[in-house]
Amino acid sequence: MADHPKDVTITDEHPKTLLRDKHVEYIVSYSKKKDDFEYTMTEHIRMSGMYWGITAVDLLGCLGRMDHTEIVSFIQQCQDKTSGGIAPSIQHDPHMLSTLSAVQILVLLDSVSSIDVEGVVRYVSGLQNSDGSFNGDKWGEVDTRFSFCAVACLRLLNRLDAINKEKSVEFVMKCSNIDGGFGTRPGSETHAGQIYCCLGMLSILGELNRVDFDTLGWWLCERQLPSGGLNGRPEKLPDVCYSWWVLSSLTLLNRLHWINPDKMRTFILATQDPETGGFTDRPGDVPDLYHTLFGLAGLSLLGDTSLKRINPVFCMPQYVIDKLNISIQIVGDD
Amino acid sequence: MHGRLKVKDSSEKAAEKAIEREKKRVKYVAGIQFLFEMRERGSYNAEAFKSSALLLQVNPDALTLWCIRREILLYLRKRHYENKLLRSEDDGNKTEKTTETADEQDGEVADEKDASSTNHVEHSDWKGLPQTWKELASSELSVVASCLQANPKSYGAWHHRFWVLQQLCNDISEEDQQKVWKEELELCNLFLSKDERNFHCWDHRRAVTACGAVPAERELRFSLDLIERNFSNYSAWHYRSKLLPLVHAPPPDSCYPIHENTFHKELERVVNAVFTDPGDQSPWFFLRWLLQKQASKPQLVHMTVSRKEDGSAEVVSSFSRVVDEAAVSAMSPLHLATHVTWTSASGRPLDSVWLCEVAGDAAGDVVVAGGERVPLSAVDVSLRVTGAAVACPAAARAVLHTLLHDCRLLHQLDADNKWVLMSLAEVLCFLGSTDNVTEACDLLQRLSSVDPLRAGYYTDRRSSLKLQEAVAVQITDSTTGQETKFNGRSLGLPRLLLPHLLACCTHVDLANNNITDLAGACKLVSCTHLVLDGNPLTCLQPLSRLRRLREVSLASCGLQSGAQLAPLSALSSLRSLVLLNNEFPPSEIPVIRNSFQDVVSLKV
Repeated sequence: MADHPKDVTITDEHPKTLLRDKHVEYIVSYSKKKDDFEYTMTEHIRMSGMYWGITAVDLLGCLGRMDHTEIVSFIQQCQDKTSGGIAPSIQHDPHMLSTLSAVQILVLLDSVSSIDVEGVVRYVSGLQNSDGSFNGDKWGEVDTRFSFCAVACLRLLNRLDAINKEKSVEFVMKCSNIDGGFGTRPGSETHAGQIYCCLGMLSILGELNRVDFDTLGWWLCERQLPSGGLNGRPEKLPDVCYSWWVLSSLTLLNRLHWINPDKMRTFILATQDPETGGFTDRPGDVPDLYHTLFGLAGLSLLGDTSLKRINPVFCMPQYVIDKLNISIQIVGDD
Repeated sequence: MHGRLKVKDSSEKAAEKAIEREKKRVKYVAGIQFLFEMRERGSYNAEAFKSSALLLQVNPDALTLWCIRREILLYLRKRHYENKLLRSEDDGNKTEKTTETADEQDGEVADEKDASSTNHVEHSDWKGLPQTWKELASSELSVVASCLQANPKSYGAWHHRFWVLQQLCNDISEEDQQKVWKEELELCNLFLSKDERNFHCWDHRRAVTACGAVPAERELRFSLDLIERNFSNYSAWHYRSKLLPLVHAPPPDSCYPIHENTFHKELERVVNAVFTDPGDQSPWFFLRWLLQKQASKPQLVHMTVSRKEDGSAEVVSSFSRVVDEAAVSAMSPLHLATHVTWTSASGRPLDSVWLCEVAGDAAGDVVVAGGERVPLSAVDVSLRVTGAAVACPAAARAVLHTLLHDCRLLHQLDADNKWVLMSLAEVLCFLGSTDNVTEACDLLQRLSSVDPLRAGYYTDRRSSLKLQEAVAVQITDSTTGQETKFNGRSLGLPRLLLPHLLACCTHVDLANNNITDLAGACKLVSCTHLVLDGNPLTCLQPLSRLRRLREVSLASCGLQSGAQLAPLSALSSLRSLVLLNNEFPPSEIPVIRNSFQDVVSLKV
């Protein structure tokens, strides 16, 4: 076995079973500590934080524990009347990332009609550039993450007609590399998070066949380290969020069996915080909502039946996607 | 919360920390509220500008803070140009020129939220800031630099930096612009020297080199410097893979991804790297790319023309990779006088299997092996053409042989190195021949135990090779008979691998493999007889698309419920179904019989 200087060790002290109740408490109590340091310092990603928390709680079967009215009212206040976009928090500026998060939450809570949907469509489609790429907001940052956000958001709203789909695909394909993966922009290095975004977007548009499944699948399965954890790029440390970015990508490529699921599961479980609940990036670190959702979502993809099934593209419970009659492309499934 | 270790403090220390954090929190909240209030009133000032910098130093990912800074900067730039306009009123020539500039700026600024609503702010409010726009932009770059020092992976900070650079370069001479980009490249060098894998900085560097028109040759040298410093720098190898085809483009139809002369140099370099540390994965990825070009080109696998009872003909074409309809027409050995519409097996615009119907009286011909043309009218029953094997030029074969020799040397030194084993297997596959493929299969088997995490990958790869071999032996050019039979029994297949290779087969026998998943079955477009006995199948859904299936055998497949058979009810041509030795509860047998009443021969 080759040396892996960049890995972690999992010991008997790390959790081995899913601490369901702890996680529910962790998430539910998170939003109640509004004067907490962490809560304050994450205000700029509040909308995404809410999406991570609500989705995680729903996967755990406890959606009823969240205050739906408060959440919907918050989202309404975050929608910018002029542009139609949704901000991550009140008084902040609208952005593609928070707009997708808000739409995901509203779809989950079956409350899409409580915001100006046409405004969202106008905002998202207005951020498409002539080369097919998307900006994150009016200031012009281009990234394949935003291509995913735009397509996922509009698909959830059934308004894909509002953008140039062909050009969107063309741009994303310009961001592909010799290892079969994708980066942020044309020329950028492959990154597992970016791969998820590009595959997810191609899957929604039924264009996955443009991808070199075997080359990319191999690069993705090489992300697994002896600890069972996955990294996001070669020679990097494992991180539980990649149990989502990589596993969902392998699922879309129909090559999930190219990694070892038992070791992966062991790693994810070891990143739980047994005291406070919640998942961390690596065993022993500080937990947060982001890693909590992606830890749970990874376990769901690996077939943990004590959790609700997750959709590999939208990172939302499958029953929600089924209700909307949305189908995605998975390699070999057509 | 990336990479933050949970530390257990004594209660005293914890309380101390909590007080510190609370102080920090209150300060941050007050700062943000102050900024938002000023913004609401449309009255930014120097204090707001400075306090936003302090807040960003703490939290550079708070994008709205950067937005506020950009609004202020745009406002100040506009002011700068207005002042210039005022100052130059007594200078006729200059006035005209600056007016134009100011108008242009106005147009841009009008788009930006609130930027013009701050016009009423008193001049004195901006005391303490740099006096000219150029100075202001430079000082802004220092602010961003210090934020990046604290958090080199902040998307918002990197984006803001590039935005400032662009604004600055809009307003200065070509010569000064070059200076700016040159300095910026230095900053990239600095950040990459601290973290050679920082992809934000790499992206920034690419944008900077494009704006500063830095020659690709120079960047190619830079990537080499980094690689020589550290062979594990995947980012640098990646950069190289992007630059090489630009600087050393191969002629069209070359079997190398880059110009041949460079190819040999690069190969030598990367082989040298893997010899230095065979456990280092970055160079192996690069090596794989250098060798891959030939295999990545789509090629015809099979094309079969079958005459139907009504005189029309059906054509099935399969390719080594997915292609679009235009490529099918171009690559197909079928040449018709009139246009024909191809449809893909999956119904998607890119596919590896394509079908078309040709009218009985259509004029045309088929180019068969050796280039001979067979008139379509001469095809009474069926005609199949197999794609020619890839012609690997002698020089390329020599390269592969040298590499094979090198890999064998490494293998002797380190028998269990997975990268060596894998490259050896890949090179053997490229070289072809039954012996080489057999050896490659053995190596892949070895890899499953050396690198068990990826056993699933190695098993698929090995099974694919076996299947390819079986297809090459069994499915050859032919002009006889309507039937094409493939026997793939007991090949150890874990799934339906490379199903496009079997697109022309009418009879597919995959009994006694280890197939659980039938994903990809839609590629078996010609299949009328399918045998899957002895496979632990879990889901039959993909079979519902195979409308031609007449005989299906699913004996000993571990099927446990009649409900699993539902997808088969869509198969209207089904006349024989074997379901022996499954695990259906006895009570379900009559139900199963009942639901397949139209099937002439049902064995359950």
